[in-house]
Amino acid sequence: MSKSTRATPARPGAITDRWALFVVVMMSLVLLGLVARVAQLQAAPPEGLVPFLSDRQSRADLPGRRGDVLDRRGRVLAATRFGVRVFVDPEEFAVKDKELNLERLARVLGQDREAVQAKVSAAMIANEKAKEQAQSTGEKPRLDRVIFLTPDVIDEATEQAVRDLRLRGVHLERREVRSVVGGPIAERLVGVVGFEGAGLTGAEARYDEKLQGEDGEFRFVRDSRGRPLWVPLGGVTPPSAGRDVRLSFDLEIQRILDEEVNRGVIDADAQGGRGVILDLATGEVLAMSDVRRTLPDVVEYDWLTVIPKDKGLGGPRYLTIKPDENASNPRNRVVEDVYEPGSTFKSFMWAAALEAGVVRLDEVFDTGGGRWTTPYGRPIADVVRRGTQNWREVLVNSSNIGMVKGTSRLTFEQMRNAVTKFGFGSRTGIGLGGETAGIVTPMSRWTKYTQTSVAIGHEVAVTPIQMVRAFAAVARGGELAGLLPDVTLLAKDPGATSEAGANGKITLLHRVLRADTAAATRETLRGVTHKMDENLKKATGEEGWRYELFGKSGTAEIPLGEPPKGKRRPRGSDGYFKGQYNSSFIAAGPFEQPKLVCLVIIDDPGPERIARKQHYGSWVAGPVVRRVMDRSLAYLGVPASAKPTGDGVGHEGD
Amino acid sequence: MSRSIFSSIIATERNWANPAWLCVLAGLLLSIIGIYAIDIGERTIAPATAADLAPVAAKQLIFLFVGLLAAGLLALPHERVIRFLAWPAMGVSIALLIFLLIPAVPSWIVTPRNGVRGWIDLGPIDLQPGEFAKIAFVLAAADYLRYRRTHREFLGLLPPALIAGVPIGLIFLQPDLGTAMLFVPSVFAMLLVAGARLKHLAIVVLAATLAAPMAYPFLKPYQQQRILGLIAQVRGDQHARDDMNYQAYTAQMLIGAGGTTGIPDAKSRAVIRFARLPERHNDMIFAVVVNRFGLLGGLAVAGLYMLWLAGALLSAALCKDPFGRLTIVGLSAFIAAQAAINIGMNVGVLPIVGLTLPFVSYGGSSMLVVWIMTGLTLSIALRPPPRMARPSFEFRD
Repeated sequence: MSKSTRATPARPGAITDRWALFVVVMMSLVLLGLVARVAQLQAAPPEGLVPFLSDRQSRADLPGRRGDVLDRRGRVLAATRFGVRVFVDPEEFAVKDKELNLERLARVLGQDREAVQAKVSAAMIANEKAKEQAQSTGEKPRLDRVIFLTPDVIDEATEQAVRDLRLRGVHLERREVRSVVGGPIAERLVGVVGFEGAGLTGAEARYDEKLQGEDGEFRFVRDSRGRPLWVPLGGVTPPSAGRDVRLSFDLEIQRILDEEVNRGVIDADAQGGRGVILDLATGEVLAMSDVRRTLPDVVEYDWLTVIPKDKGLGGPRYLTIKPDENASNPRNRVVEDVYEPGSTFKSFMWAAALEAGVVRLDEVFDTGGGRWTTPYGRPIADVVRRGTQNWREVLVNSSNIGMVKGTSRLTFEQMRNAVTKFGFGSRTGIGLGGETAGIVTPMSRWTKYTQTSVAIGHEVAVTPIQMVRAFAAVARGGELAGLLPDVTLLAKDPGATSEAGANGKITLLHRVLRADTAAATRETLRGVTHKMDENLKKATGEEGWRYELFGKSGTAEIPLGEPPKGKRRPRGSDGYFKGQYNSSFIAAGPFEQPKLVCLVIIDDPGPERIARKQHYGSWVAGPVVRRVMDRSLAYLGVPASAKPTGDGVGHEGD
Repeated sequence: MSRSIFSSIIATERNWANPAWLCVLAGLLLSIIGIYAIDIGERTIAPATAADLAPVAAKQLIFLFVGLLAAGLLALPHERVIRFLAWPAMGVSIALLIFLLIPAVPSWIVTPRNGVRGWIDLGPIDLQPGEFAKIAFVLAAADYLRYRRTHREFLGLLPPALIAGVPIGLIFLQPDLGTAMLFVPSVFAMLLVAGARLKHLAIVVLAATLAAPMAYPFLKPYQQQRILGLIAQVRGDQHARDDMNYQAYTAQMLIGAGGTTGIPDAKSRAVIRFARLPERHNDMIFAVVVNRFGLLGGLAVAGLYMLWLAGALLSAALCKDPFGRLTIVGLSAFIAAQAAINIGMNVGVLPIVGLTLPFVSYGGSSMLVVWIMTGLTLSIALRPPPRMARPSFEFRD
């Protein structure tokens, strides 16, 4: 029995069951603990693991090609290609044979070995410092890992040579390169594209949204060397190219304008010249020109000298074109710089007085033989001295006295409204950066003196682009006559079939003049060009123009402009470069069915011209306009005018 | 006569409804997961059919069938036959373990791997005597302990310690530290179940724990490095990431990358291949499974081990025969400890020792042994309880 008491349990299997349960529970806990560790690795991985978890997933942008900028006829102004830039990752660059490798790299790139070494070594040292610092603060070090050796893209042969070196830590960055064709003017109009691929200036900035391609994306799992090894389904989104933008510019007309303005500037021994051509029907800017010349005898104004009123030809010739603040991004003086229009402005005020009904076309004004004093005591003189002139003759002869007398019948408000209605004092919104609105005296400060000055194109500051826009209102024929166009940089020919041509409808701003007033002004202005043609024939023998134009000349002393910082206009100065002029001519044609308007300004014709009294707009700018218009209209296939001019036919009131 | 011999060898009475089937199910699922994970580590494209499997994965599939066959065969004989085989098996195992250590054996028969003389080259498969020694040891120890009570005295622990100590020592000399260590939980589990006193075992554990640091100088340099590596990693020291701790870091990175539900097949293949995870179809296969199936995959694997263990321990509890019960407990301890240690080293909480993940890892011997273990468990569980049986190991005190 003792055997059974030893062996018979109170509860059979109790110990084993307990142990079995214990083992199962323990094992469960252990396994659960291990699974918990798995969860921890996934949810809150140790710091050292984090870079490994995420870094193996990579993303690359596939750049979408930027659209081309085209001229109105589809010629390429700016196009994109891809190039590479070389950069070094100092963290990756092998320390072994560092000197030798840098030397090889420098040789391939055609760069100075020491400069390259200095660049890379400096970054390496800076990185080491950053690492030390980070170690003491416990933060992640900020390392410089991209050291560009070539600021610009390299050619294909060099690219291959760099690849062949197979250096660790030397990388190639693929990037867009924008090439602008069509010369310096086209460059300025087209503008600049920044490193990030966004347009910064010019048309590139204006139409950036349209030009921008949409970047594609490439998501992949990469190996430790960064090579893609696995691309998930849908990991590639192909890029889409941007749309082309067709600008209003015509490369051929641009070339004509550049050529002729350059010639005009040299002929006149001037400091510079500007030109702009507008399509009357559509408001498209067909060409813009901004020429500057460096002359040895020109000195910068010191803002201390009071230039004497009767300076004549003896004094120094001052620099009248302000230097660019940023030489790499020169101003476009057609939209950014103002000038005093002088007599060219008379066309607008003359028409405004006629429109208001305060004068009649055949009304005769007493022009006092060319000398007259206003009721408030301001002396006014004419170049063409006549006893009496009718309102037409006042404009043809550019009579200051007649203009002042006629426009004095307008109220200040009428006069100022007319100025602003023609679009002066407000930007054209053409979309080129840096456009200025010009200066129109505010109503509160408008005086009798202003009324007189503005009548003859003084005391206003306008941009060339404003001038052609205003002149278009006068010059447009048919149903558009008297309407101010909306100037545009985009090609807008209604007949365009290409997608790039669909740039929207032609827009109009508002009515400036009645059609009959505009027609009367055009008719009258024809006389001015007749005179100019005669002068030209006498001076150079040029004649036989195909197209009859109508236009107006202007000559005005150049204002000193805003003094630079820290300088003031000297006491006693009237604010002008005495004896230095902006000579301009604005004209449209052909007379029968006006198509183009062209303005040319010659900045500061040389002293010789002034001595011969041939510095006037009709002498220096007029011939340029003449040639530009004749060539451009012929190029556009406009039929020649029925009545060849230059013989005085149709010349009224002279 | 022949009939009586047959009936004495082949068990005819069957207890078909037994919990050991859970072990078969768990083992089968784990093996399938393993074959898939092996293929992930080998190929970059998912196989369309079984014929497309990577060669090692296909081989593993064959090993699985061999293992299943072995398990089935083991389920046939009477438990008594198995018990008779216990000591001869032990003897053969020890002989083979000694054979491995003979320096004169040509290297085409015993090819050291990573410096370990653990395999006998048999052409298509390599025999790993250390694996089979586990089973032999369990059978021998169970046979020794089955009707004894001497082990309830402190000195009485010496004979079972000796039974375990011989294979442990021989395996340690290979040197295969991981496999040698696995005998410890098994012998403890068997002693506990056989009624050894807890305080005696606690004294042994305490002494071993105190003695462990003294063993450090006797470890091989690479073994010391593994431990140093783990310490460095726990302390957040990154410098060993690319050398000493590379394997551990890569495994943890892949586990972390798996997320909750894992990453797609093709991506997982690419990631694992190019992360260059060492031993990816072997010791580190758990990292592959979690990378592919995420946290849920890890949970599933752990759950399947629990299922295996639950099946085995239920069988043990239901088994009235002391030999059968001890055998199951000993084998379970091997499986459980090996799974836990392997997962532990995959997730970076244990130093990396050469241990496979049972059923999942690649390896013929490993596969065969775990299925033999499963087969033995099933064989024992299939035996109907004797109508009159003395409860095993029920001691009053």
